[in-house]
Amino acid sequence: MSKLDDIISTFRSFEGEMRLQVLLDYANGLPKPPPELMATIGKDDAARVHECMTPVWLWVVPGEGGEGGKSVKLFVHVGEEAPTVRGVLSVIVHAYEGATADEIAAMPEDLIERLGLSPVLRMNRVIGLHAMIKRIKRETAAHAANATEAPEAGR
Amino acid sequence: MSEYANPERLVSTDWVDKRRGDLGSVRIVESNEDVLLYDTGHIPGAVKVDWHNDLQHPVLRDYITPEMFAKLCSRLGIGPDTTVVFYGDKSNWWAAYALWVFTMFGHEKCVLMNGGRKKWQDEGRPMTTDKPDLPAKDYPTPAINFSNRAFRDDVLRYSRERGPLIDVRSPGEFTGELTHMPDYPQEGAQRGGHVPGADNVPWARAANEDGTFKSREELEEIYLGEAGLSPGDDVIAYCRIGERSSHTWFVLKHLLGFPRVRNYDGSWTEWGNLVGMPIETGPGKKT
Repeated sequence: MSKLDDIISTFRSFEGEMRLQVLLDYANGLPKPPPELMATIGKDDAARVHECMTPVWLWVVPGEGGEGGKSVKLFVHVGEEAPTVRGVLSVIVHAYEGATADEIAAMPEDLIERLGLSPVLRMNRVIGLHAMIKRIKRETAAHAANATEAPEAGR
Repeated sequence: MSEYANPERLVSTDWVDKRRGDLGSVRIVESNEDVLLYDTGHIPGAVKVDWHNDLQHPVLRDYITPEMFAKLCSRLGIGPDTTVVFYGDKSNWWAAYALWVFTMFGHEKCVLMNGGRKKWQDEGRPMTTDKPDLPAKDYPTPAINFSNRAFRDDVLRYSRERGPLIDVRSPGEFTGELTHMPDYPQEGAQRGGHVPGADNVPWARAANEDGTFKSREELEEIYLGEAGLSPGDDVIAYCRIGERSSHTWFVLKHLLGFPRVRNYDGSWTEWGNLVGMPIETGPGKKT
């Protein structure tokens, strides 16, 4: 069972609005990016994920180990004023800890449905989050490609 | 705030801070874009009304029924005489929206906290994650009142007759370059542009940097001066889903005192997706 499957069954063990509380716990548990990455905000907007409802910064840095030593580590920064987006990104960060960029890029696009969140978040918000997930997948693939060309570029 | 037409409709953060212990006659309601933001911390004593989960009908593209509204109020400890104070994120977009929905159900005792959630936080006022334990109150099923709500046929007639119609979206959405607000792809439309005859006055023109409303004089300069509205006008405002135009509705109705202002909540997500509706692109009659 993958980490994502574990997280999905945790969400699904709760009913309705209680799943939002689980999402809130994830939002509160989003790991903080290291200070050197946070320091780039406002100076170098390369990490800014455009087209998200909320300003999101995403960094993909080389990880340790993983299959063929190709694992990456995701760091995300999202403002406190957007806990729903923080929660979903925190689920992604936790589910893909130690994964390769390819594995992250293969993330299911119906993640929100799998977590059982679409009935409680409702259509309008789910569509916005879908757009964000697609963007994260694309950005991860692009960051990983850049990192292969110039290993220090991801730092 | 006494300069405004209906000064009793707008209260300060200080006013709320002093009365937040009075949970008998006042109910503070937080309404945000983000469904979880209230749960991360809110004004002590405040309850949550989610614009989507609480106010939208679960099946129809419409608002909840009067029976559901009565149940919602009852659950939140709101009686027909309770003064409801709305505040929220995004310069009070959703707070104004919730206030407008409450108005549709005839709840007249509702006010907006100037500056919203951000101003409260910036002033270092208390926040809590504790949810108030409020006894349910009786709320009789209200009659629905559409005097503040416009439907697409009203807007079509206004477009043909060149009635006072205000498009409060960003200039890029108005001209048709964008089919949704920047960063909100979920609220797109098949066609871009605006309702022919509409004037573009982006909602944010009415707000100061800190999210509070501009002075009456400044607002008159924008809406009566630049946009050319006359004090007796029966105005319709729209945006993409009706939340930004609720903000402008509040300004025109309660701060400037226009006799009749309607919010077209179907807005561009309805108009821009309907077959055969008239649409104009470009800068419009005047900007």
